[in-house]
Amino acid sequence: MGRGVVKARRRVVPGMPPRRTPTVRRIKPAITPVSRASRPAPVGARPDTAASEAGRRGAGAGARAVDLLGGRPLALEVDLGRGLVLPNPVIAAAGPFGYGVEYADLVDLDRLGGIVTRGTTLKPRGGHGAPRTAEVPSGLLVGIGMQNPGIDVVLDRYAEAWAAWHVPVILNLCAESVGDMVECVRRLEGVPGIAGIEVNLSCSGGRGGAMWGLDEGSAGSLVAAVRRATELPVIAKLTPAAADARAVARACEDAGADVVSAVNTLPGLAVAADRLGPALGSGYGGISGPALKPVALRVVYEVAQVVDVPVIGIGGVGSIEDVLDLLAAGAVAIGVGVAVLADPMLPVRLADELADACRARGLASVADLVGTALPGRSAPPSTKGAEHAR
Amino acid sequence: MLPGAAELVETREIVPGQWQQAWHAPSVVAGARAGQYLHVRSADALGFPFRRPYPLATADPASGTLTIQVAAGTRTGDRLRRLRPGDAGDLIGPLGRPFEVDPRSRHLLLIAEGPSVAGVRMLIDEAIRDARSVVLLCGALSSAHVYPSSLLPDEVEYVVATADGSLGYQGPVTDLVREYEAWADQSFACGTPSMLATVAGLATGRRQRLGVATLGRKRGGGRPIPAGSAAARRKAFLQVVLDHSIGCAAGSCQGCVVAGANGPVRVCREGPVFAAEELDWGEAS
Repeated sequence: MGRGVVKARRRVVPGMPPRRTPTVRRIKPAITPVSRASRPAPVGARPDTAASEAGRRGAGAGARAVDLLGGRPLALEVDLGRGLVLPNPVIAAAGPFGYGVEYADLVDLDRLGGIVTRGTTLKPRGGHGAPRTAEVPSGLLVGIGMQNPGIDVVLDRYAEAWAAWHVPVILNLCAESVGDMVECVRRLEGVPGIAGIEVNLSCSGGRGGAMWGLDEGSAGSLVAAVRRATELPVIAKLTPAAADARAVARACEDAGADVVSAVNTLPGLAVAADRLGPALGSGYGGISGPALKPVALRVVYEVAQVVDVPVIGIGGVGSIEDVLDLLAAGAVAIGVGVAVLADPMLPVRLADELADACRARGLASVADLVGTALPGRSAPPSTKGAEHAR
Repeated sequence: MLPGAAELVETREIVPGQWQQAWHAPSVVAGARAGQYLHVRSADALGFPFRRPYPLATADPASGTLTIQVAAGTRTGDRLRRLRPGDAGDLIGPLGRPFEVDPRSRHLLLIAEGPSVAGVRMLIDEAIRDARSVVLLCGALSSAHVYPSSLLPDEVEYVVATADGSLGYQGPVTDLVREYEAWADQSFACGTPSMLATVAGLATGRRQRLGVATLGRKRGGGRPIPAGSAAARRKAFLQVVLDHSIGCAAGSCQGCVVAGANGPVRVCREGPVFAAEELDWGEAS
């Protein structure tokens, strides 16, 4: 203290109690300030990816890794191989979601794990006559007949939009011959915006219903031809009508499929109200909806045990319970099909609910939910860290 | 196309198996036009959610109330008719393309069959508001199934045909069309595919039978009207509204496709109202 500075002296008045000095209490903030390493990503980035990246960077810098809500980071990404990484495991399955552009104004597509387009063929197809849908107990019988404008028109109309999206777009291809399928695949050379190919092994518009996927020989030959024609990730979509889906899945894997998806619709029939013929213009149709879920679970459960490639589970998904069931049966990702007709926002909501389900179980990765129901699993997934669920 | 909050105001059976429901849904009513439809969500006993289309029967923007007609015996209809006033609903709408009335048309002929009166009911309100004359031809199985005249405005000329002759003309409602085709400037129909095909056939030969002058410019004048456009419907003598099951209402699932004159058309997006010339009636019938 230098000279000339007068220190204030405390004035003490005789007979009066000493004045209380003010106390400053340090209050612990309710919300811990987020460190630089784990700050939210810029607008447009995928939240979960951004959070996990931030977490990794933060770990390297010695900072505490947290997600946007201050919890532990959650890994939702699904690596399907050959560079195809889904931001989360919930995808829009082929068919009801069209080419995605139909819902672009309604659904935040970049929050989906992926979009599989409706079936596309080399030449335009007019599809079956009306009616094309029939309500059946616990499901919908569908007989569209692969109506599409052909691969060239599809790419011309939609590829530019797909390239602008962050969400991976997988093109579902269907053909009546190996040559047509290979020609379809070749048209994709150099086209931006296509993250992969789903080979439809049960083209209902072909030779009287499910054809490629019924036996391992024809399924393997088709997938092998596609594999030779492209470097894009190839997904083989199985039919539940196959006598032994395991053999077909193994054949597809051996032929070079990077992923197997199960299942397509199950062939069925509904009778018209006047009982003078089938209810659908096509006669036969494919059963979708909750009626298909036990079938899908069976095929996923069987296939996941015999192949080393990832399995995508599709069939009867309408709630988070259905998602968890398919994951437990061995699927690494799930497809939402006919349920989007009533609720287009359902896939996005299921992705959010899946993240919540992981947090509620204290899991750091959605991978911990995969295959828990498969035989031979030594122990259930860890619940350590459940206290950080919220 | 977002789900609108809706509350059931009133529900009552107007003819056996047909229920009229009034919903308070201001966001849905706003901007609604005759011919458009709602996509109403339902679920079966096992919780499978789905939606079915219902034509807007009436819409009152002032009160935010609309009415639809619900049929018993269908999954969605049976669930809806069990609802009670105050219950909430999930309606998406208004969807689809509406009827287009030529501003110069003074006489409108409406043709409906059974419960499909709901498909053209709202057009009556719009036509009377615009001081047009309306004749409604309605077919039914018997007098018990005839749409109640008490639910129609007084200005409408209501002509009934029953299959058993218990009320009005005995026979199909399409038999009555010829009596009014000279009077009508435009006509609008809703019903079964076979009934619509019959009406479309009558409309095709009308000009030759009657020698009716074409409204508008002389042949060859002006720019061509694009097929499927509102202008094309406005120029057409007959517009039909298809009562078809619709899956997604977004145009993606292709479940509601019917044969059009120039290729497949989606009822949910290109319809449900079509000019008769836009459809391939060979398949529809």
